Amino acid sequence: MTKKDFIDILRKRLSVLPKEEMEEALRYYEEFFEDAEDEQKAVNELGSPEKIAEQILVENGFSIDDSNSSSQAENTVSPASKKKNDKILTTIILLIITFPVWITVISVAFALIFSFFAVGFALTISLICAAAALVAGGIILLFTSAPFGLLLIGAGLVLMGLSILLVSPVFSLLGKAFSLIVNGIRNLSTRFIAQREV
Amino acid sequence: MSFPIGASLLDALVLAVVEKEDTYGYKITNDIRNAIEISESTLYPVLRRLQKEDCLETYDKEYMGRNRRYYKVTKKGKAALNLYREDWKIYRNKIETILISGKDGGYI
Repeated sequence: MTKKDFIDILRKRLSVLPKEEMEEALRYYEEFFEDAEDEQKAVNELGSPEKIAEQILVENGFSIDDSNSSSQAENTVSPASKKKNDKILTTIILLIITFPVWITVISVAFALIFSFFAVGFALTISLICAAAALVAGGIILLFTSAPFGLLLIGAGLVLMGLSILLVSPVFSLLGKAFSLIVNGIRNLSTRFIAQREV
Repeated sequence: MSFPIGASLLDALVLAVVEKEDTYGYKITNDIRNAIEISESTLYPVLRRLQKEDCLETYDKEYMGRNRRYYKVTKKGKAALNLYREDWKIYRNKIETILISGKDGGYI
């Protein structure tokens, strides 16, 4: 094999790479021959250009299908990313097929979250309304019977204070429940996807 | 030699050779081959990878009427090399504790 044969084989094998990547490699080996005192000796030392090409392709993220050894005219070369894409595709298909299962789980979870929020919201709103009504009633009563009016206003204020005190823990509790459910769904789905990818 | 050379050891050797002086592909190959048996085919991918990882950079310099590509260790490459050196010392000591000191005349 001459230097020219070597470079030609390398060029052909690396033609799947981006042009810059291929030129870089060819330049390296051309220079290698120029620096070697004995060109033929260098060709012999370098070994098979097919093997070199294979290594460069692997470094560039190509996977080599070696089922029909390198003596075969053309090794089939496919980008490793294609395999990854296939995996993602199967995951998507599986998700679509199992749609009836996970959609019910998710909708139940969201219904639960929504109802928790609705209950919490209604509870605090009604408490505040009741407190406001008590205060308003107390002010009206103030003109007819001052002590009862004051009592009502006081009770209303107490209720209002209590409801405001209640609001923050109730909502933080709801927030916790919400994140718990969301995390649960996320864990389930990642476990599901991980299982598929094994 | 009976011990295979792993990818990181090869990286370390290449970095060490280039660190000594800026040098070119053919010379790097010869220097490395003085120490270990590698098929030449493995060296270009290593150089290219180190270059992509910003451990090596290249520049062209004229030599006998043509441009020769020289390799130079970057700051990142130097840091990587120092790390390799530390790791190697630890590794060597552990191996030698078993392999050398177990035998008569061991020096540890």
